[in-house]
Amino acid sequence: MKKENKTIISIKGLKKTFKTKVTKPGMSGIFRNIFSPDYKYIKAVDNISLDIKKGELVSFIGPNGAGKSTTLKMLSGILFPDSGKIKILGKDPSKKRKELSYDIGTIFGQKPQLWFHLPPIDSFNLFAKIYDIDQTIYKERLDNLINLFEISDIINQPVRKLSLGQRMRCEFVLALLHNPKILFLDEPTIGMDIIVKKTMRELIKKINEKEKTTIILTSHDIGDIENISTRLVIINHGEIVYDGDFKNIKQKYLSKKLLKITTEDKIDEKDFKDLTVIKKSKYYIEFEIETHKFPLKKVIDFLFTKYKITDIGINEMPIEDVIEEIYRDQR
Amino acid sequence: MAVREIISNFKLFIEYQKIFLKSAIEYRANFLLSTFFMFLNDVIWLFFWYLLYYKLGDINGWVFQDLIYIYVFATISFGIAGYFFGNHKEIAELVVKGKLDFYLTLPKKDLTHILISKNSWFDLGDLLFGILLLIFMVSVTKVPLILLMIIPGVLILIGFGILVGSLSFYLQSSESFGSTLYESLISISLYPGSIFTGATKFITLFILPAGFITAVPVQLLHSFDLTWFILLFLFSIALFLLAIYVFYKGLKRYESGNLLYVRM
Repeated sequence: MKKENKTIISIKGLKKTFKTKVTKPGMSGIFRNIFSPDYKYIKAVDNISLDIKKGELVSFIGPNGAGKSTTLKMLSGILFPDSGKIKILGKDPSKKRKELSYDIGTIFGQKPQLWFHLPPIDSFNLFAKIYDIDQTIYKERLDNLINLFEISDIINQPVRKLSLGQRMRCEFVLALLHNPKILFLDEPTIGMDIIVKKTMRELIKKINEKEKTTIILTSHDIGDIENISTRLVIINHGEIVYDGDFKNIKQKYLSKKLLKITTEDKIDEKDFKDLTVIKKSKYYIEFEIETHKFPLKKVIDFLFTKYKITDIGINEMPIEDVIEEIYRDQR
Repeated sequence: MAVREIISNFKLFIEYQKIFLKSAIEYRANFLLSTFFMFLNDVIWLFFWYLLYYKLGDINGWVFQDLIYIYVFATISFGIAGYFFGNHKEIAELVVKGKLDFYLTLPKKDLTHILISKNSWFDLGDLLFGILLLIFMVSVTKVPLILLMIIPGVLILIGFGILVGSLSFYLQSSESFGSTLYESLISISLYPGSIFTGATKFITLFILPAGFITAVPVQLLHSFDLTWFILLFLFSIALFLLAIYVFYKGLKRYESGNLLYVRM
């Protein structure tokens, strides 16, 4: 099927700058702010170009303020770009926002769309009216989604009584009611614990595979997209740092783990001489390991046989460090 | 095409009304208290005016019955604008807190959807009070003209609300300025029109157009004048269209935002 590879989103030279007031210090600053405010220009998105094909699952990853959400908001037509071109299904979202809204579903993690005090079913019914979905089609679609997301026993409980995971499932159903071809997910995992995040990843995968929906999601945490085979776009300071397969990045940069260990016995420096030690005191050590050189299991087994460990923490490398290393390699 | 759009918007309007009713049942106490206290507030104010008129007889030629007309026009138009199109007072908040995103990603016309998607129980109290006044304190022959002249009042309230709210597209943190202007409009419309003459009359007609909500309709009830009647409708429609224009012009400058909130 050649149709599968059709480009449905194309972005060229996208730019957006925000103007903010700079507050001057002191009493005199207050007056000067009123009469001659200084403005600072922040380049939120600086010359982003990329093409997305039908059925692709793309993750925009970057630190806070990198321009991911701004890009997504320009794609959904909420914000107007300063310059550059966007074409979604051949249409410009800043001109054909309303037409495109029938093809796009959005979930903004920070902006829930469900009515907080009412059961999800009321929000579903409302959205059916907003999208003018025919009643019989709506009933069928809703039944399918309720089965797919396993929410049949919660749709009649007020949203405020649902757990975060349950609420998120309902948010997904709400965004998918009108059967969109494209789904934008802005920080869908914000504020979630590991277990809910895992469910989220499974849901996203499910929608992409079963509904053939093209998905763009953003996150500030690269760990969020573990186990979803996805195209990864890393954004920093409004520019694309990396655009390609997630696997490459994973092997190259994400094999590093950050370990923090507290022990009851004194830590022997010689044990850690081949490793990058970040912080060390008598009973506490923080160090990096590259898991392809030193498998995590071996390291931990060794530590547990040698030391009496009271606390252990294993963390991914923060996205800022990954970006820094990508920059270093590009030079 | 246009007819179909009106029908579909009306269906959505009904769906929102259902949701408001369900919220009212979910939060019975809040609903009853808000509605009741606004009603009580209106009763008390009208009673004060009664005491004043009892002492004075008339104020620049306006008697107590005129004040009843003022309250009929004011409370019913506040009630309709606030209860059915509650968001006309909240535009600034929607803009500043990035809450417009919700409407912008959905297919319905932005402003229509914004206006019908919120209600306020306080304004229901106003509406009920106005309707009771209309039934018990006004002669039946005047009712059709009164109902007709409530329409421009509603248009002015909604239009003015959108207009001052849209300031926040241009000025950062203009929320309080805009709502002060709106509150002034409401207060001025509750005074007998006869106290405004000369410059103040001009201001209450064309700057803070409270005169067109109450004073002009009351005057027209006494002595009908076609020129003023037409002016009343032309002015309110013009203000309403201007508000729509300014809102969509400002929308191009919308900067969104990432504040956390829930839909209540």
